[in-house]
Formats: sequence, C-alpha cells, structure tokens
Amino acid sequence: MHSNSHNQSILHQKQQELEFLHHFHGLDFELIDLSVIEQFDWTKLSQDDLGLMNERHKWQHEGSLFALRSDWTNAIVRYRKKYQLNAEKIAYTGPVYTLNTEKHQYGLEIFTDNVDKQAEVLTQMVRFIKQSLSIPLSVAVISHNTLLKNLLSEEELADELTRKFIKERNRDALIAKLGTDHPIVELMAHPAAEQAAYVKEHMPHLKRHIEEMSHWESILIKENVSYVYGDMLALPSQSYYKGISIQLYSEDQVEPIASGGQYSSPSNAFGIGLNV
Amino acid sequence: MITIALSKGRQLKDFINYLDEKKLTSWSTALKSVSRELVVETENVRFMLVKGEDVPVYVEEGVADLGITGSDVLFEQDRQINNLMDLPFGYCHFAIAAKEPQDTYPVVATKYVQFTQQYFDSIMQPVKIIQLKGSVELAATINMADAIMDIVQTGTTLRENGLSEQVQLDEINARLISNKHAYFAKNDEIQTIMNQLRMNDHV
Repeated sequence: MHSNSHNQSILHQKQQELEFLHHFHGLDFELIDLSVIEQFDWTKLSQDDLGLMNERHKWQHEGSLFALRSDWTNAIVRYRKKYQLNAEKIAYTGPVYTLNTEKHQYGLEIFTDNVDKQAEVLTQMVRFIKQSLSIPLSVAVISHNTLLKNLLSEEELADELTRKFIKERNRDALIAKLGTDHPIVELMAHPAAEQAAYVKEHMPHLKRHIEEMSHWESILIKENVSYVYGDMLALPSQSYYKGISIQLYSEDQVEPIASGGQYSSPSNAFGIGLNV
Repeated sequence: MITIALSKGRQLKDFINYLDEKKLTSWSTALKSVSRELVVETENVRFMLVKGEDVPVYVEEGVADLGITGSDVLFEQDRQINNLMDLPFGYCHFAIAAKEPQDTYPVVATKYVQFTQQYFDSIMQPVKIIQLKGSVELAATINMADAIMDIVQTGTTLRENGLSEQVQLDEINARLISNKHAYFAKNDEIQTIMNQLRMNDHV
C-alpha cells in the first residue's frame, strides 16, 4: 500500500512536470534544457559567480572549476552571455542544488523590455499555479531592486552589517550605525503597509519606482492573490536584478512557492521560477 | 490569531513584569497562570513557551509569528527572521572572565563560539575556542582554558567560582523578532503588538 502511494506520487510529479512543459509550449514558449553541471573558468569568474560559490557544490578538475546548478536564472544569464538565444520566451524544468537542499524548479523567462509582455508571463504562471496545480496563493511581496541604491551610498550598500540590519529590519541597529536622520531609518519608522505612501510623498525622485511596484501589485490583485504587499527594503542578491522582484506564497508556507523578477543581462528580461 | 514564542525562565518573569508595567494585564494574567503548560491562549494571542535558543527556530519555521529572545541568542544563530525591536528587559552583557588579568587569552571556553571568534578576530589575536554547553566557569577554574566568554548579569556566579570580569563587551537585552512571511501577511496585528510593546522613549 505504502509502495503504491509512493509510486503514484512519483508518477504524479513526473506528469505534472510534463504538463507544465506542454502547457507553456502550447503558449509559444520555447523549451530548453541545460546541464546541471556548470563549468567555470577561474580567470573569468564575475563578482556574481563568486558571490554564489559559497552556496554551491563545487569542485575542481583538470584546471577547471565545476559547480552544480543552484539557480536557473543565473544559469540562463550565463548561457545568454556565451551563446545566442533566439527565442523570446523560454520554459524549463529541472533540479537546482544548494549546499543543503535540492529543489525542482519549473520556470519561465521572457527576453524583452516590454512590461506588458513581462506581466503576461507572470499572469500565465499565476494561473498555472492556481488552476493546474490547484495551489491557492495567499501572499505576494513586490519589491524594487534599485530602490535601496537610491537611499544608501555605494559604501553603505556594500557594508555587510548594514545589509544584515536592513534584511532583518533591525531599525535599532541601523540607528546606531547610520544615525536617526538617515532616510532608510526614517522610512523604517513607518509600518510596512504605509512605507510606499511615505516614499511617494517624501522622496519624489523615487515616485517612478513606487508606481512601477503599484502596477505589478495591481496585476496580482486582479489575479485574486489574497494579500499583495510592496516591500521597500529588498536587497538584490545578484547585480543583474535591476527592476521589480516578486515572491509568491501559498497558505502557511514559509518559503515562497515562486519567485522572480526583472533582470538585465545583457538585455532586459523577466523570469519567474516555481519551486516544486 | 498571532502566535508568540517566549523564552521560559527568567526572561518570562521579566516579560510578565513588563506587561504589567504596560498595563497589558490580559496577557500577563494568562502567563502568570502557567504551571507546566507549553501553550497559553488569550483572546487574540497564543503564547508558546520554549527554550530561549529555540525561539528563533519556531519563528523562522513560521510556527510562531513573533518571538522574544535575547540578542545573545540571535547573535549565535544565522536565522532568516526579522529582528524588529529592543525590549527593555533581559539586560546583561558579554564578558571575558578569568582568574587573573592576562595580556592575551589563547584558549577560551564558551557557549558563544561565533561571538568569541568575531571578537578575537576584531582584536587580531588568534584563539582556540573550546565549545561547552554549560557550567562554562569550570573550564577556567580548572585551567582547561585561560578564560571564558560568557554573558554576565550580576557577576555573582563568576565570583563564586573564583573568576572576575576582565573585558566587558557588547550589551545584551531582549529583542522582538518576527517571521519574514508573517511580517507582511499579518502586518496590522504585528504593528499593533509592536506599538503596545514599544518603550515610551523609543525614537
């Protein structure tokens, strides 16, 4: 009995993966697959590559550095730097490995700076999650990866402790480090739900960023995501994340079920990955 | 309903006193009635009583939306949580303690490995750290280590074991922490609790 349910679970998982690929192929996405082992040249490692190495399984063989794929977008960004990719929209499925975890990701990427087309990809992913996987989405968090670059100096943004305090919303520690008059300290004095309005009113040079966030929020509200919030304090994990960032949560889950956003490498793109 | 993970023991008593000061009597009354229960419920809040070191675990996992624990505990754990606010109790500090002052302390026993390593790195001195789970004073008393790194409140335990404080380091107090997801999903309730618990002189 146990063995049968185990078999059914494996079959269901494989079927779901095929369904994802068929579904998005039917919506004009090109399907791609990449090796789970990535090869690096020691002399050509970027800051982003180096930053991720701490979280990856890696090894050296005959002068080359190898690592297991830990993030699909990162793999696709590097693929695009090396090879021509003619398709505008791609869909993929496959495993990603960090030091302690293995996840299976289903993802979509669109290579265009047309925000309406990018938003359509988000909508298609949300509908797949809700309709095909029957997973209700309870919370969406939208952030803008360039917002903090406007509130912090380059030095502050690079400082490890400052980044930790921002990430943990530790305002007391930021007051001690940056002073009470620092714009980020003033922003954090307001409840999360009121921070967008505060930025709009008191930091007019950032109005455009807030309006972009509101636009993406409205798309998710239209898709009936229960709570949609703007997060003013998101720190980009990789330098190529330059615009909107989105995290989708299902009921009572700590980790986002899907996350993605706008990036630039070398041309503008949008991607979203679903963690199965 | 908001779930708050609390440290059992001395910090719980301090929290109850603080609740009385803030006139949050429905919470303090519920917590005062605890004998061996691990979960206590009031109208809008469920309290979970756990070991201080486990508070960040319950919060990170989302079993609790909020938690209250010492900044020393948070320092040692690299958790994905929001470290929201100082609370005015649980005051003590990190200190190096030894039998006699020395120029350097090459071997140090402690429960706080990360803090100790970071401190000795900051003063550019090599150190061998012996990790212990408790009764740390003994390590210096029997010369297993040159010193201990521990949290000190009154210094009585040190004195009783023939040790004295040599270097006073970072201050410690209670902190309110939140689950990253709940911070957005239950922002109104969390904000209300933050306002209720906020110190009057807070900026």
